[in-house]
Amino acid sequence: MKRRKKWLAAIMAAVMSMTLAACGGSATSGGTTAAGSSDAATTKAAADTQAPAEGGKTVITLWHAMGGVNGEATEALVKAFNESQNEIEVKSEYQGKYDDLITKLKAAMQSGSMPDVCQMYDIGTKFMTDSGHAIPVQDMFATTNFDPSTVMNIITSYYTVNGKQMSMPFNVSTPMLYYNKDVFKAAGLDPNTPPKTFDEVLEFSKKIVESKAAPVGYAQAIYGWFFEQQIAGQGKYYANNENGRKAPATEVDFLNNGAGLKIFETWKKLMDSGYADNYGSTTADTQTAFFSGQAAMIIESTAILKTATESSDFEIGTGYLPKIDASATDGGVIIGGASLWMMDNKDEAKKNAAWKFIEFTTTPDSQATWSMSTGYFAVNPKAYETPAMKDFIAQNPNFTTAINQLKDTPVNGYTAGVLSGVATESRTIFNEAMEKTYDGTYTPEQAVSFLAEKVNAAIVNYNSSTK
Amino acid sequence: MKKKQFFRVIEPYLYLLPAMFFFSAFLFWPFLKTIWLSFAMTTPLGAVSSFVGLGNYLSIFTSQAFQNSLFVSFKYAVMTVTCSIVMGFILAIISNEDIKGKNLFRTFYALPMAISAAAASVVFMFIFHSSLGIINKVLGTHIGWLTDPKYALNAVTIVTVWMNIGLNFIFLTAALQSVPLDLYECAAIEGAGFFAKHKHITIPCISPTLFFLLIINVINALQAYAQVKLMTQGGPSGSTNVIVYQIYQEAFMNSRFGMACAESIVLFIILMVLTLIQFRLEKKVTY
Repeated sequence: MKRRKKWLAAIMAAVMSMTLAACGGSATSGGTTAAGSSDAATTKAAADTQAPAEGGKTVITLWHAMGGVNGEATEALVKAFNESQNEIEVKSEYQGKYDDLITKLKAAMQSGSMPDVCQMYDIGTKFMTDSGHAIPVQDMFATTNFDPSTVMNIITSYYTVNGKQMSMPFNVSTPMLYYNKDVFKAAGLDPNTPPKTFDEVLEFSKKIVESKAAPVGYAQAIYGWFFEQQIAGQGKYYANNENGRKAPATEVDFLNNGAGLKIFETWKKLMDSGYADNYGSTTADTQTAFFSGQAAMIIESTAILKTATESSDFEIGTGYLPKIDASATDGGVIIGGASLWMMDNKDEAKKNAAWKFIEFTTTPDSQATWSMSTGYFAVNPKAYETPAMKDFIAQNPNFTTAINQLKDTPVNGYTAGVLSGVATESRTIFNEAMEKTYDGTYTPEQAVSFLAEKVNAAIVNYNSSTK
Repeated sequence: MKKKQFFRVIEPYLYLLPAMFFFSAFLFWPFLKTIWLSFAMTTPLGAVSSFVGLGNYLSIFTSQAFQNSLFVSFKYAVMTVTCSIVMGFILAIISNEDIKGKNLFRTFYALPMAISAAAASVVFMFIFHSSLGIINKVLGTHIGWLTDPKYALNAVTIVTVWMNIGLNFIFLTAALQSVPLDLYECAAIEGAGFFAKHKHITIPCISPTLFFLLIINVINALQAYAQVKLMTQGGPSGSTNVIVYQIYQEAFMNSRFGMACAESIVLFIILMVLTLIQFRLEKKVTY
């Protein structure tokens, strides 16, 4: 017994001395780094260009928010780029969902450890522009003779601020209608004719539920993006100053132009009918209800098309986003998704490398592969002329819905979408307004004024904090 | 001689130094910075753009969202703390009886402790799903457990209680084993029944443990975050918007770090006052 204790003591002592040694080691190396960084700025710049070089390659980092199927496609794209040349190596890092990514990027901006290329969701555009840490991609076009018309105009218009294209659209999606063709058949509806307006959605849902083809006719997550879409769909502005694109927005417009009220009224009526259901603000829960055959129709991003096809054992149909106002002619969908931003790390080599990678993502082949493996829209129209994509579309006609919906959308200030520094917050407020409308706390009128008042306060606060 | 004396005086402080270093870097400095930021308006990046004095405090106390989050947090704390201590206590008593497979039951009861809040939340999201979840299937109901403001906080409470029972159970089991057996024997001779025995012997004897659990459970409940973030995102209609989630939203979704810091300070004061009150009470209620 005693002997064993002695052994134990000896082992512990050894472990401790090892830890101490480790501490000593890191202290010395810490000291060297500190000494190095205290040198003149020129040394630092030299160190920066040398440090990332691995076998003569410029190494740049890419932060993205693509998980699951879409994450695999991102990795494949990065791999294809790395193999296509031998000067640049892109290291991609998954940073969680969009909201997590922006939070991490904010921290990185402050600590000076930004990635070289960063994916950022649509509604982060204003923040990125105002942050002053981004290099507008348009500034790089000339370096490689990039033709700006490579990417569809309707898509770049969203990412253009004060006449300058700030970032490169990467994964582009729009919302569309997904429906269960088997249920449509069982309910005696034509499986090839999806509803075009919300009046039809109600009518179809009624038939589906009453014929017991599915327990729920229609479902839609509580999601501010759908609200923004329906405003554009009516050919109206979300915020003043032409959606904040002529000058920074100072207040919302959907209250005065009546677009907001129409949306709340339509959705409330649908929910009260008993033929639709609400699965909350987590879009995945609504998807699950659809994939499992509970809900016959849902509104979702075109980006889940691939996932939807893989997760459900019935035939999926797709249709245009149903309209609130059937008579609106200059409305359409706003592009959503995310774009790639170049972060300013004050390093010429990395800057050029970052741009080359971004340029690579826009080639017809890259976009075709990307689109086929995710369901996102190909930003380069030439992607649709590649043989692989042509075959693919012939086999998966659902992909054409997204393409045609975007082609049928006019390029104007309504469909460019709102440019707002408080977009995330506005969506949270929208959730509350919508939830309170569904549960009867607010009438649609009260909900719209509540939403407008809160969003206005946030805009005022944002404008004064960034002055 | 003098040198030795001097060393004796500073010696304890030298031992404290390493700990103080880490405390300062990771506790005191952020705390001071939080106080400082709570008086400022910040840019979306978190840099101070101007000082607003008590402006943030004034606006959070007139903000309906913040008041609601305080209310929700207290409601949540009362529900989770009572349920998880009571249930932990019941389980501890049961498994303290002389029954077969006692240790197996003990392991089962303590098991939820090993599961992270995130994993538990995800599993319960399936259980609570309004059309696919097992709860609605079993009950034959169609309740939106996570989407109906009437039920959402209860659903989050159930998950938390389930997660907390393990810890409470272990502490209470340990406490029960330290209750002197002769007291029970005495009681048995005097003809005390099951309930009388526990009411008059067990509870007073384990009151220090109960009290300790009360404090940490309350603090845990007021700091709950993961369940809410994953299951409801504070919704529906703010019905599960507990204070920490409100702070998170203010800082990271709305980029108003100043306001978030002011809210953190308020939470800190509340926790401090609660702890002080509880310590005052401790002397009265425990043996």
